[in-house]
Amino acid sequence: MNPLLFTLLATLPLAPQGDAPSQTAIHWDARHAEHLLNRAGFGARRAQIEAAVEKGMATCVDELIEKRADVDPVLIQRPEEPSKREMRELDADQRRNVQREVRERDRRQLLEYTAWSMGRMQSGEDPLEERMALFWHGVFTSSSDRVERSCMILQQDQLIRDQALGNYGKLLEGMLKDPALLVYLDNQANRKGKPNENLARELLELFSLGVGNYTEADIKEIARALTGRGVDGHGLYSFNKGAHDTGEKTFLGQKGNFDGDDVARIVLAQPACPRYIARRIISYLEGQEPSKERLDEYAAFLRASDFELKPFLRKLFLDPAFYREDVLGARVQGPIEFMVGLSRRLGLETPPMVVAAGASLLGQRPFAPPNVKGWDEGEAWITTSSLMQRGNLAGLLLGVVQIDDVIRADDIEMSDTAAGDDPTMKERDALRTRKPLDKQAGLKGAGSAAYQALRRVQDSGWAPNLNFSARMQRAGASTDAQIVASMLDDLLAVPAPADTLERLELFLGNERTLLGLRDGHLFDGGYGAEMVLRRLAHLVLSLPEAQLD
Amino acid sequence: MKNEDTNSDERGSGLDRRQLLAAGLGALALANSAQARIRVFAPAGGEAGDAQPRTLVLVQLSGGNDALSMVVPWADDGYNKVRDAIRIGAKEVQKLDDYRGLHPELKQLRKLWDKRHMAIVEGCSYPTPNRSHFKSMEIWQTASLSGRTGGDGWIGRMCDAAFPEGAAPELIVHVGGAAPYSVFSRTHPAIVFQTPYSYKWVAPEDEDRELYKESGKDDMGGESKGQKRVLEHLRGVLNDANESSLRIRRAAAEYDPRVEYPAEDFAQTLKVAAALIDARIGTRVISVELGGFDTHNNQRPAHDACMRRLDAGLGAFLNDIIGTQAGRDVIVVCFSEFGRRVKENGSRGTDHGVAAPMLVFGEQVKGGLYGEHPSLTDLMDGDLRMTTDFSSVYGTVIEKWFKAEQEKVLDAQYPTLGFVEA
Repeated sequence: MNPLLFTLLATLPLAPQGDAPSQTAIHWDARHAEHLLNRAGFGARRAQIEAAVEKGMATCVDELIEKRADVDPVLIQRPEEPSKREMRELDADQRRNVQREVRERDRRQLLEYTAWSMGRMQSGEDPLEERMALFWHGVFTSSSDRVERSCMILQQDQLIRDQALGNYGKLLEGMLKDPALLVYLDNQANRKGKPNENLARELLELFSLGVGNYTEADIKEIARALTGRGVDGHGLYSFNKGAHDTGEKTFLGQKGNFDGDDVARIVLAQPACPRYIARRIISYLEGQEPSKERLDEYAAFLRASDFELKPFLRKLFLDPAFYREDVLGARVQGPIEFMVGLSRRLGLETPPMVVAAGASLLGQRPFAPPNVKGWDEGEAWITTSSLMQRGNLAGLLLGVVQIDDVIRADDIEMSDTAAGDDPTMKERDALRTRKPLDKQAGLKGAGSAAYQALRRVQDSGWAPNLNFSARMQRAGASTDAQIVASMLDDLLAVPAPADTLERLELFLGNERTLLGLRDGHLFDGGYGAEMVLRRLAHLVLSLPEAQLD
Repeated sequence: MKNEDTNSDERGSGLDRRQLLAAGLGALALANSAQARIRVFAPAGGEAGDAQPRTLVLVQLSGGNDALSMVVPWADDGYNKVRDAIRIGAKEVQKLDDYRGLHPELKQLRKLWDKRHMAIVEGCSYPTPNRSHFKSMEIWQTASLSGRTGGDGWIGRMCDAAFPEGAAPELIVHVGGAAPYSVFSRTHPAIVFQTPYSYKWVAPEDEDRELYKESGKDDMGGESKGQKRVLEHLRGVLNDANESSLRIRRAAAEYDPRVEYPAEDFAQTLKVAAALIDARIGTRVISVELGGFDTHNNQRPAHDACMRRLDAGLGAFLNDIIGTQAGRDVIVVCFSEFGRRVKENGSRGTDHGVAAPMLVFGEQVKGGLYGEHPSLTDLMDGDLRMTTDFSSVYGTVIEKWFKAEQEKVLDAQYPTLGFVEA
């Protein structure tokens, strides 16, 4: 956004302070449109924002909620392991090979699906469905690290996509029969007489009611009701009648011979349930906890609409409080959003594996939340390390940074002595005797796999198809000041302060002078000018402001 | 895509560019008064006058460690009768006395015990135990029975009490992915990284790096309170990142350990911890994490692997630093959000429980047993009762190790324990 435009807008009547329910309509403008498109989707682009302002708020919200792209359902491959009899006929080596091949094929399916899923987010089709699917994955967590067969992860994602804008009650019922979740939370081992409480506890604490709305006794009894729910050899849901506890159970104030369906029904009827879900959705999309009054209103609404999600989201996106000053541009983007948003704002066809690998490096591996609570959102995403890595990934997408520069350890002397810190003799010795990179610390695990994926994409010859010069010209920018303003407007969701602008103009002016060009004539510089613009974009995308939307 | 074919005469003009930029930035700095917002801290190596730069290494065992399989009451019928599939029997256990013993994988820790460098604090928990991983972890991390309510973590509060505001940005370091809430601090935000080598912002030209260093120092942008607050936080993080990036990478590159650290994540994070301690860059708390302790199902192989990793990592680390000057000033404290139920469950695993021992290591630690072992028969809902409030362990670290006032951190005075000499 143009900072000048902002000063003007600040004087216009906008949403009331605080998030108290209010009938005051908002004055729909570019800021609001950008906010809605960012939060209900990913990385709003300039043309999109302009179109949204034109269409008006109600139409935009309608389109987000109702418009659907035609997407073929994904084919899920079930493991085709040879039968026990076939295996017996093989010798040990052959058996190992067969098993390795099955594992390899399974791993490939997960990678391909991850790529497909990142591609869906980047496409901008069904933005709200994609956004809500990502949200639900942080609620109904299952990790591909623990759920070993990818078909179950795929199946869970399909369930989430089916209900992402559907009905929370149906989603909950589905999840209590979802193979990935049943495996992830050990319900395979939850048997009559030998209850395993894991699923029951997380169901109440994280999937439906929240801490403080149930007792330890409720957990124990619900665990009994969930006995027998498991998974068969094809990775499909199966109910083991013999393992189900048919005795009487008492939980959440009810008594009866309950099974898993009863659990869903009784949990959904709890007053805490719509409240918990309303709070999760609102705080995710607004980036802040709602006030008590507003939560009361939304919880009651969710109950009255029988957990239907579309009316709930429509109400939220039409609510002036959703556009209040404290919410606009004040949310730290999560890693997947950051990578997808980056790619979209740059207008790149980024290989989906780059998006996935980048998000993994930043702490959010798709289909692998760190624990059953999912990902901590907001400021928790930003550490000293991840903030610099976000800049590095932006540089990678812009083609000004190479992946090897990021993981190389031998740049300590050359690049940083310039900063005025002279390494001591002892350090120089240490640097000279340094071991090869792969012997050094920590280049393992998910981080390393992500780096390798990035290197593979780079080695495959991918390079960003960018033409900032043309883009700036199209936007009517030619002077240093105009170019910086246009770049900030294109790439950031929030305005940058005056000193940032000044500094970036200074940078651009210097680089332009070095190319021997006068202000207003940068585009005569050809490829050299384009590289300067990319470096400028890199600096912009490494700003604190670039983390927000 | 390195800019190979940018005009080659540009390459020779590096000095001019830098001078140009430096002159420009200088002029901007004069024009903007906002520069004063940068935090001032003692430069690296400024610890010469610090007689006792003590460090705490806080090890979080995530998932709820079945501590009855770590410090095993092998001679207690209350253990042997209710643990069948996952029992660690008298033959397997490394006996410490006629009642308890260490898990068979904890071979290096056993040697540290023999050298009196290891303390076991029995039956640690807190009043009104909570069996949710997250709630219970929050209670341990905040040392507050209400968990996270917006304040700092206990390490953050301790650092407020023990260290001045102008301490090095590296005062608190978490080596790993997401930092645990224990180290959350507003005045001393933690430095967080997984691998030291990639702890940097990369750009094709030095000028870009100069510019980047300035971008945390800008005057507040943002038009709403909410946006201002987030931006202020992000700017602080960016400044800390810029300040610490080179020092951290140097510390790691320079470090020459005295032992071989196994090539696995937990051990490697501890190698980085040793490097930071050795480099003396002002780090006072290092946080690391070992996960994998949520063992509801078929526990034995999974928990055995956790014990092996714990032993491999801590063993290497302590053998590396004990006996060095820097190593004398290190204490290691291990905790988990809860122990597990005494009786094993129906699937050769254990469900969430309550009390468990905490382990403390260090050359200056007075090895041995502290507190009372909870009864295995007088249970509370099938769980071990607390015999030591974990706040006593924290209090001991705060008061005796860091010489700070407990009450400022814990809002109360807890009895200190003898594992640190007064």
